[in-house]
Amino acid sequence: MAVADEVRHDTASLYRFVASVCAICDQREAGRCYLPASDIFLKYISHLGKRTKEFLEIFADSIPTGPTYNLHRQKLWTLRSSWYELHQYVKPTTDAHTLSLPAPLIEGLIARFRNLPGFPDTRFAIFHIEKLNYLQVVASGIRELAQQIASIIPNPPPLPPNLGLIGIPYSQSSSVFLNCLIPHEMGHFAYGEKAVGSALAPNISSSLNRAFSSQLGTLQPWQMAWLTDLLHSWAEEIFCDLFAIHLIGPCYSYASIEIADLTNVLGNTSGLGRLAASCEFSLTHPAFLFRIKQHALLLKTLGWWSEIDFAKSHYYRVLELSDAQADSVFTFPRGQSLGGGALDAFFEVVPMIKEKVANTVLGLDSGLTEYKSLSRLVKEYLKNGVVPSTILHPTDSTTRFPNLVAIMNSGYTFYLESLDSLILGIKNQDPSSIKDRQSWTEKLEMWIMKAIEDHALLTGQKAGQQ
Amino acid sequence: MILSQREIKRRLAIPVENPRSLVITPLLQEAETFSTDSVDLRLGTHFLLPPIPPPPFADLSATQSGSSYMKFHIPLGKHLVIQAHQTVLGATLEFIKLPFDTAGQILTKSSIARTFVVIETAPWIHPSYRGCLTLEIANVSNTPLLLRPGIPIGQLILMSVNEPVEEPRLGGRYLGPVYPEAPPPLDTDKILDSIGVPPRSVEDPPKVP
Repeated sequence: MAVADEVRHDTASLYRFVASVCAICDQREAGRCYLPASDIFLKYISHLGKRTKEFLEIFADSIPTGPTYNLHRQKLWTLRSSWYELHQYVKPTTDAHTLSLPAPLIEGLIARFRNLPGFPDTRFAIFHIEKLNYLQVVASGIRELAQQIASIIPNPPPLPPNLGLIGIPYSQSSSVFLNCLIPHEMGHFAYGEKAVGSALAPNISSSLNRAFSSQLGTLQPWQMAWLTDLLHSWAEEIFCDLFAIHLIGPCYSYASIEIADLTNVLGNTSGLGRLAASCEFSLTHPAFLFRIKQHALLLKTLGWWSEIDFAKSHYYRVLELSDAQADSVFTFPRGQSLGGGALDAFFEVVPMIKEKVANTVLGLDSGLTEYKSLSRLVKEYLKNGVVPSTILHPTDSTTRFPNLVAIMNSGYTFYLESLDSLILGIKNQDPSSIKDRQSWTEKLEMWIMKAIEDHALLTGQKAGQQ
Repeated sequence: MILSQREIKRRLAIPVENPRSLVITPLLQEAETFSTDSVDLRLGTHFLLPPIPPPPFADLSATQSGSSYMKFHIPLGKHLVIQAHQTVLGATLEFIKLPFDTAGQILTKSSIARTFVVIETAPWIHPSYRGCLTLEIANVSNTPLLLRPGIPIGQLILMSVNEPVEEPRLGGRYLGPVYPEAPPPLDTDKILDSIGVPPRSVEDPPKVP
């Protein structure tokens, strides 16, 4: 086959690939609606595909055969690899239509995120992931991909500005409680956009220098680079945890405890070694109990701690237990001989992380005042099987519309401490039945979601503002 | 006796834990929502469409379930087209909680009814009910109809019940829904057996001579 024919073949092959991705963007399942940001993202990919195809249609005829051949041929490779990367987000985004994600919760969180300084127009597209995990696609990574493609094709569409991409587990589409983890992913977006990592770099460097002062002469450069990356990873996770608590309150901690199954550290489980395992830092994340300890400390600082009075719940005991752990109990076995120093250096950086979080959320109302005022009433509505979106305040008989933070934290607390009281009020239902508990938890989540949706209507926020 | 606007508002101002309390939420544009003897209810954003193409027949028995309905979410600001003679299950935007001594009825708003749309064929609401009301919307006209979630579509009429009984626990087949709910399967064999009718297989229809 002649070189020109080979290029024509390869170009057509790539064209077909791009066309198939565009078809997914354009031919979405009938009747499906998307969050505005997801819609924008899919339209962007479709538009980018259209421009790519236009470029490919003339590419094979325009490629020179002389010494610059390889340079031009490289363009096909770059386009293909970029589209391979984009490909992974398209179908999961079309799967995450409004029936398969907690749209009111996400819209409420986005509205709150936009109150932060510097993020008035931020949007988040949502996609499904197969793992039981939450993740945020680094915005700069998507921008890089878009730039790679844009550097080759003429008239590329601009990447929608202020766009974040968050992956949520496909199975949690209707869950409200576990999706309280989404603010952590929003934190990753804020961390990247505010360049917090760069701002922390000098602190991380000096902390490492101090922690390893006696070994500086013997440490290899790669070891120091590895330690630096490690501390950056841990710092980002702590930043995102604390950011999430500022954004949504203690329900983020409850969801963290639930997804990590941390209640297994309670009671007589020492034989299982769960407590020790929960104190281990990994290569990417701080130890679970260290994270929860930081949650507890922030909840105290923000004034939430005295409101978390649900002594009946074992989630609270996990917070208490974490809070009681001294720094010395945390370990980093994977760090081997460098583990102890890495932890010492990291503990020194934590106050700086807290400072960066505080700067990022400057001016954001924690929602605590409204929670204090309405929590008991919201729970009373839930106990009576009523959506708590319009609350009658007994002091002055006026109606109140609880905000996202008040609804979520009251709802989660009710779920933890008072689900029985709801079930006991219903005929032929038994709080000791796992099936009945599951059924009423699901209904409770629906009421909470409806209350969040109603709040936007009752306070005049129009639909589709994202 | 039908509850007046004044009585409805009085009931709305009773704390939720009181069984005589009434809840309707969200109450939007309150001034225009109340008539002298009714409250307007709006169309919600979730729908269940019967399967397309339709099955050979609908069977109420346990062998069929509501899962064959197609779920749709039509956000505020968008619309749903209901073809001529098509039916769809919708729900009210408002979640309601009725007092224990009050029953209700939902009627199609006259402006909607005059486009030959019926929103409810099982309009009675029992005392102590709570939830968004499922609407059996039928376009009985010869013209496709565009429906926009958020529009006032029904009227809620409330009536006091003589000698009401306050049940200590809530009951009912449909408790607390916020989306339209498909009918739960009925054990028709058991129901008919209870009056002496033997079960009969739907796979064995009567032969036409």
